[in-house]
Amino acid sequence: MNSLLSLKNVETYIDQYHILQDVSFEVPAGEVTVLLGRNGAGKTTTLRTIMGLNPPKKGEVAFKGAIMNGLPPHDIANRGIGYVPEDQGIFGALTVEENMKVAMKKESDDVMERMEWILNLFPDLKTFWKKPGGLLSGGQKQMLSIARAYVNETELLLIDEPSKGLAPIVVEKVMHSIQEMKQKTTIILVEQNFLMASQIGDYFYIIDDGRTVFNGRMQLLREDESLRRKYLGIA
Amino acid sequence: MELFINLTINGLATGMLIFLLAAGLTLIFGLMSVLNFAHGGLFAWGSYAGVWLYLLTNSFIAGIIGAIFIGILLGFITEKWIIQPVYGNHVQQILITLGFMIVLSELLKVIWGPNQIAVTPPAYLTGSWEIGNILIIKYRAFIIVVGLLMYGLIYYMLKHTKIGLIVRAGVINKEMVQSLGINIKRIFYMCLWLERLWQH
Repeated sequence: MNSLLSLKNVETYIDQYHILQDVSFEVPAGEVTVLLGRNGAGKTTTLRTIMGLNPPKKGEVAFKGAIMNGLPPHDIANRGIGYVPEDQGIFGALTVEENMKVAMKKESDDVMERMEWILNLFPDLKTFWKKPGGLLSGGQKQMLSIARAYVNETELLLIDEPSKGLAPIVVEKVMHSIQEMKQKTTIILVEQNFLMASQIGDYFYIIDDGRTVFNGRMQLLREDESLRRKYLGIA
Repeated sequence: MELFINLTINGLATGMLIFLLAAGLTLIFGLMSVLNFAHGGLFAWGSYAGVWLYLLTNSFIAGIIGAIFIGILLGFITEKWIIQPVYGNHVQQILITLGFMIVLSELLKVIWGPNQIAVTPPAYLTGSWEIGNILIIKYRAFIIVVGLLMYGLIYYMLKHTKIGLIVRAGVINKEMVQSLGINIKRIFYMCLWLERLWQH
């Protein structure tokens, strides 16, 4: 497996709480890896650990073979990792345009090309270009958050629960856009909505109580109901 | 009416000084989430140092430059040794900066004595203009102009530059700004230094 990112026996604490107790996985380049698990299993903390927002106490996080432990979040982002947090992290008082501009490292042809591509993917953002981010709907905020994470050269995109709190029709729209982005970048997706995750994902890892407990190709989980019942509690 | 205009000008001059102080406090609290109770002490130190240099060199400009330099230096020292160890803890910030404020004000007395220092502004800023029955004191007008210039500069910086955009985003969500590949600490330091600059 041509691994872009790997986590080896990662342990992360938040204050005194031992959240990640032994997380190990590899993310193949050009694929979508889905992190599945029940609420509070440690999926969001795993993404935050990769980004350096909750740095690991033990273990190893490596991107393209280089260890990233101890690096500040901005260094990690500058290596080509985009992050879409669970709460979308929109700067509400800033316009859509300003939200994008904060993220843009430079206004080179390459970045402008990416911007054009992403705005064609999310035409709503063009419509509300001069509107404050805080006034967007939940789905539009999600689109803006994804667009912002992708506007620079991004080799790996971490997306945390993009369907959370969205109407089914909006979820479909967001999912379609993630499908499109899949052609251009590697993605780690945290998702509670198994139906959606199974349509997009190529690989899955199940996290339970801060540990990776099972993994495989998504097809395996799609076809095996007993596995889904055992690890996810769904039919 | 004349009284009203005179009082308005005096009020504006005092208001501008308070604006400069408040703008610094707001930015430092908004961006860095630091409750700096030593803010007034730093302001006073810049002022005393400026006056001292002015009296020493007889140059008003040298006094202003000295005040800025001392302000930046003290801002750096305060951030590095007083505030940095207590980032993220407001109670500790209040206690330590309050203590530092006392140290700063007592040191002022040690160096420059407990009495107020009266200074005459330079010749080009002394005197007043009389427009009808309205008396505009030049030095107060100067303070108002400087305050307005600083307001314009801060407004321009925040609204029309990339740094300003990052500062505004950082006030809303520091973590997200970092996740976009921006070294927020560097921006913090820049703001601290700028804040010291416009205060003096």
